[in-house]
Amino acid sequence: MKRYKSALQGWLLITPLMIGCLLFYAIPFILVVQYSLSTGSGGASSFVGFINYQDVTANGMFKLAFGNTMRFLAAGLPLIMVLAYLIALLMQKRAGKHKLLKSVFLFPYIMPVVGAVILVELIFGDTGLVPGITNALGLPFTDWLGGPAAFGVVLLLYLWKNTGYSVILLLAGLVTIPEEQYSAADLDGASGLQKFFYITTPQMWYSVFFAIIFSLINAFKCFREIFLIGGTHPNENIYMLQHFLNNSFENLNYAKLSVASVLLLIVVLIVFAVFYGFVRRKEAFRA
Amino acid sequence: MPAQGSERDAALTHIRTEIMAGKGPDVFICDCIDPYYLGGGTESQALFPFPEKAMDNKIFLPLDEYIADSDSLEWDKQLPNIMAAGKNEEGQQLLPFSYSFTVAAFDREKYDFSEDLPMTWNEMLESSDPFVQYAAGIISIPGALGKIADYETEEPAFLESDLLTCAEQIWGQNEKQRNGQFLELMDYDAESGFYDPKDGVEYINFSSYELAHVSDRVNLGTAGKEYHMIPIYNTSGGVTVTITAFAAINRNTDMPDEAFKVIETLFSRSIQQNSALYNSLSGIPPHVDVGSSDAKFNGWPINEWNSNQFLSVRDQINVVQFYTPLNVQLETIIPERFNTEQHVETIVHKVYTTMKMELAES
Repeated sequence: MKRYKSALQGWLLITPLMIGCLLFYAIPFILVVQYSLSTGSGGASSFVGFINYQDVTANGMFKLAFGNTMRFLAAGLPLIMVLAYLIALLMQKRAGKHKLLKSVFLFPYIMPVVGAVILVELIFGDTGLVPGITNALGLPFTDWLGGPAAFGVVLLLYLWKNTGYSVILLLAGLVTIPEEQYSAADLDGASGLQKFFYITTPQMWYSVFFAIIFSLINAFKCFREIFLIGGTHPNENIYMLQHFLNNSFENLNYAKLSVASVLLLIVVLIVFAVFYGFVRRKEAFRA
Repeated sequence: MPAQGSERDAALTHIRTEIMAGKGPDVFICDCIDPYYLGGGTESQALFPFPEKAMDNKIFLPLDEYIADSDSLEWDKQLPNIMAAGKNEEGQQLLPFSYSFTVAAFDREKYDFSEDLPMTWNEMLESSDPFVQYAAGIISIPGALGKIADYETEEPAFLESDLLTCAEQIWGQNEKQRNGQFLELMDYDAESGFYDPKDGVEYINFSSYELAHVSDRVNLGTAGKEYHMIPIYNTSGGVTVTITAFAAINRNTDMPDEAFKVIETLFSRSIQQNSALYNSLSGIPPHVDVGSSDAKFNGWPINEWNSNQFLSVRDQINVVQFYTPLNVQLETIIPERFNTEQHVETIVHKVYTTMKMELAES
């Protein structure tokens, strides 16, 4: 009876959250999948099977948007992890001493989107700092925000804004590694690289996993800056999946929008599952 | 709905979400052209940026049965080629109720024009007739190219190279005007440094309310001048017109009969003839009698000669399409070329890529 009461209390406590998850996540997700398999809306909706998927995957601009998004993730995620890991390793020994430095790393992350965009315009806009320098050096004019170079600018913005956050996450993992292990390794004559591969890395997989997840989420959030820099239809090199989704909603093409969302979810889930499986294997091996 | 700004964006999102949920307004009466954009203000978005694609997305109710049973709609009195633009394989879903096109007009008393019309766009460019050459300077890429979108394949209806060629041709015609190659039709204004059309030489865009007040110089009525009218011909030798407003019924409406009664009333001859609504639209009402000298449509005073000219151009319409964001993109090419130092190839590539994106998202 006591156990039953305890279980009931638990269920009652999580019920509001479960209702919220059901109303705002589960049911909308089911509706999105339904929309992706049908045409029309409301009472005029009719099931059409995978025709919408065929149409969307054959769409050249969807492929461009999807490709750009994957290219952005493929370039951005490894770069941010390497950069953040390097900075975190450098700060590892001094983590307790320079608390202010940790806060400074978060400044770009908490900067308002509009502020970041204004900064980008000041540096890379037509009358900005970089074009001014290149002009003074006699180099040809480059449209940094409206041309092919926009991809590099957006990548740089992503790295600048989000590296600090990943440093904090990785640093939190690094400081939990006992110092004695490094001392013992020093006594055994291990080099820095050996300590990194045999002591640091095996104990950092979960921290790296979480850093990657949050970096992935922040990569999708980067759309806000790209939207403000490039508009609803930016240069083709920074035309992302979110542009396709956003504009499809404005054209009331809910089927296309739903299909693109489902396909993106599938890709993200696959990446998540592969990496999670890898981390679990590593952790199981370590245990 | 608010005309522009964040209030309009919020209202549009609200209505689109309602439509997505199977609700929304019962009747849609939509203007395709943003008047603030025409006036040089901030561009604001239409509720249905691509009406033809919205038909395929099953948003609108097919109206064939209602039209067949209607007494006051006078379906046989609406221009069939205009109304056909609102029809797909499911039936008539959109009812266009204004359309527009542009002509070059020359005072008949001062200018004698005798070239054989119609002709194709390329024939206009090769013509030695100064009136035809001047008409070819109308800045209308859809007017020259004709159909601009293939909604089946979701691609532009022409290649990027075709768009570049057309843009260069129109730019070339405009340069001829700026360089004073039409001295019989234009005077040099020393103050501004530009060539201005002489009295009796006009571009008339049939997209303004109360045509008699298009400008202080143009009066098509009995007290006004008689004009030769030459449109810009497309590559297939016809005239391209743009639908600027339409009406439709929400497919999920609970009151289709009542909703149709609203539209039915709008299309009656007496409303098209006298209502202030039609005077405020960016185009010509679709009734066949509009443009006739004895029909007396409000805001459409037109003498017999001008009526014959207008009706002759109207009979040459062979491409009818809705005004969409694609038109907005095409309209930026020449001004961008004029105002910036960018090569026309760069501008055309950017516009063509944006058009492909917009069609893919439609």
